[in-house]
Amino acid sequence: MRILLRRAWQQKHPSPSHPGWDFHWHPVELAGAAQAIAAAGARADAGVAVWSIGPRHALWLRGFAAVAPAEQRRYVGWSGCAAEPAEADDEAAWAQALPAVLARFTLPPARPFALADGPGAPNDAVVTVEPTGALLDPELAPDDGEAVARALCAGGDAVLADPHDAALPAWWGRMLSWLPPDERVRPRAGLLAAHAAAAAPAPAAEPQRNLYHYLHRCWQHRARRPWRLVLELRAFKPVSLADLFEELTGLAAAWEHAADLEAYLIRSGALAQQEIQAAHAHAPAPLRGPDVGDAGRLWNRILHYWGRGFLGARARGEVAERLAGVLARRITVDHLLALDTPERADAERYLRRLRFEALLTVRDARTLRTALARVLPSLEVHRERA
Amino acid sequence: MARVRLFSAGEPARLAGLASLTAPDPSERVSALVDVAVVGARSDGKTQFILHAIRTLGADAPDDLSEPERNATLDIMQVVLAAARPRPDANNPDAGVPHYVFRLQPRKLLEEMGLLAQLVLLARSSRLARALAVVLVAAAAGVLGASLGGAIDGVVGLGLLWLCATAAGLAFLAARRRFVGRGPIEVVFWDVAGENLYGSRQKSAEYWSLLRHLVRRRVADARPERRYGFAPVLICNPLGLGIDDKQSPFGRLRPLLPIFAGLGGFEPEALVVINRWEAVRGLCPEGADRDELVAIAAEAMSGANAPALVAVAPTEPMPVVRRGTIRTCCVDAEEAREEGVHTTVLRYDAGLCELVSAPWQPFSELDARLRAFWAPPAVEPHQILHYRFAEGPRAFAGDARRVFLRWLGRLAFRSGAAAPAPVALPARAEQPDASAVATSEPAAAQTLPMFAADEKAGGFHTGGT
Repeated sequence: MRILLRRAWQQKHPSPSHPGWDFHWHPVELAGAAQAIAAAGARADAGVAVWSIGPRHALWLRGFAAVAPAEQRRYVGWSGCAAEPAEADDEAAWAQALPAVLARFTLPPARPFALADGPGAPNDAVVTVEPTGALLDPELAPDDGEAVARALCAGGDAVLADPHDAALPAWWGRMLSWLPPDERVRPRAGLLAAHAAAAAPAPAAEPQRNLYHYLHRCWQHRARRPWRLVLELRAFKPVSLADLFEELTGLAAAWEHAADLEAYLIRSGALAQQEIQAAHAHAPAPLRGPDVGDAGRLWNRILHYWGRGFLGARARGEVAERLAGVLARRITVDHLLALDTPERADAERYLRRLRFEALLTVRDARTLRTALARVLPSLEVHRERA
Repeated sequence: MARVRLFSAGEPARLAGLASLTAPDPSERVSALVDVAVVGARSDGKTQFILHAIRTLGADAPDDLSEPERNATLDIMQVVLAAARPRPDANNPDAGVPHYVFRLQPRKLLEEMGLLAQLVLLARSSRLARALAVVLVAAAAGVLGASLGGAIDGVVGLGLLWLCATAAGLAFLAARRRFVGRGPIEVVFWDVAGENLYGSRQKSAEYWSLLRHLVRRRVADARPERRYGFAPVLICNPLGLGIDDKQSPFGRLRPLLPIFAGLGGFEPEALVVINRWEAVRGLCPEGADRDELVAIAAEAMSGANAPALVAVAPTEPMPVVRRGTIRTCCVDAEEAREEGVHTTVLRYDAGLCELVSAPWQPFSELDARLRAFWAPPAVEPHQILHYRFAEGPRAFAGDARRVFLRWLGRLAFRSGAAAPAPVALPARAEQPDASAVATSEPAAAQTLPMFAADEKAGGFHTGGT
């Protein structure tokens, strides 16, 4: 993919583009710059960096402080890079190439334009970049990784030791490779500073906090397998990552007591009321009797009754698809939970339960695993703990 | 009481700056809200005017501002209180329009006004006119009754006069007490970057749009016990007036003032601020020829020896003014009603300055520092005025103080201020997210606890069974 790379400065000092002491851009204003600087708001200062990403641009600016001699006033200017597709719109290709695009950024020095920086046009270049794969090595996990994950996903402020590090755009690109391509280019902007704002941002809702938490955990542990499952789940049922984590959070909360799980399965459409009534009518014991003490046992019984046809014999294939969808979410949650306590967790316990505790025939177990593989293709392929 | 965010859905205009705006809780005692939009070209002294105004108001900011507003207030207060060098940073035109929220206590406002101005203000705001009318009617009735009964003589007349004066005095004190009890006036200063109005990145339509959204939203919340006023302040920097006042930034912005003032609705108000008054006096001495041209070499004292880091030689010519232009725009300007806008004029000088006049010498013979800032002037002047200034932490004083406070009072309590019915208000500002409050229920018997709920901000709260 061919992209146009630009370097530019916003300053009050005169430049070849403007002879006076007004704020101006040299050579031209960069795409997304106004939004990024506006998003930085009152925190815009020397020492910070701002970024902006959209379906047709990527931008990185570093702030600098200077004094306009004509009026003896200090001001904060910006210097940085931006890229945009050089040819016709292709959002998908742009999204795939975004990590590589950011890796090509060569940031100009954080100071007003000087003649040594080149007179205008040479600051533009058309280069070719190749799409990169997903889940690139983050190389370093930031201390305040959840805030970084939040900024990466939704924009806003994050704290980094050196916001002026020239290698940050490339690093940001590697982090972006952990997001689904369409979410990489969702318009947003943010600010990177060495110190947190005086007051913390408004706390996110629990599903969003889980999203940022586990994205950070995956970076910490270089754990590609759990995040690959997340991306596959999201690809199977196209929703935003935030919505997907709302589902996963709901599932994790429900998977404790049998009654909660039953309610969850009905609410999420995994089981219909008629299927539960059919189980009550035909099965030797109620689906949720006194011997079903927790959600895990209820799940085993549901699978068992499905295998024996107690949930209704007509659409076993369709029910298998629905149950495999729930199972895929459960297994993904277990893989994420294992990142919190790797020494105690068992990420594949529900695969074993499918094989042993659910008391399914080999054929039924294979049916469910086939359906499961359609949702999470890498589950069978990548057995290693990446 | 929490403040109310007025634009909870984000920025309504293309120019950012409204999303962080909050207003006092409807139940809080605030007698009026006033938005002051400061308008002017780059470096004309807009922020400097705001600094003076904040000091004049006693730098009294509300305690419960939203986070962005609190940051902006702290930033501006660092300059307000910088005794040695109170020089604000230049506003970046892309950073949105910052606003600063301060309050004017009603007692302070009254104390700074003369008796007549107090009477006018109380008549507008606290029903003093009605009370005085009652007193006058009662007095007239007394006189009429006494004369019909034939009992009027000097003693009765004096008694009636004494009664009327006492009643009027009591009415005045009651109105004053009522005015003070209504709470402070909240004044919000809007400080746009000069480039957004007049300069390299002119976006004045976007600024106008931002102000229009602001005024519409405020008017929707106005009510008789919390009035609303809006007015623009146009800064006139005499050093930038040039040879022809119509061609200067001030001259070009002046005809647009009624459009900005008109946003305020009924009885539009505006304030023209002439700063650098000492320079005006230096440029217009007694008996000077009105057509004489004077070059101005303005320098900040503290930065006089600072090296200029300039990559490209500036081509902006050294400013030259005509004495007659200064006299017309600055000396002769006075309070007036023009195009339906009541315009008040305020003159002040920002700080300490030195003025040295000298006959003009060729540009190449000027100090190298000046030649680094400017290109040669476009026309040959007769004189050069070296204007060296250092800003001090000053407030408006004397006439400027009275004019400013009286103008604010007038703006807040205009006689015909609209008071539409209250409208439903959007969500409160910065309320803690209820969902963020961790609840740590005891784990069920078969739960595999992955971590305590309060150990970290994120993570599924149960491992499932």
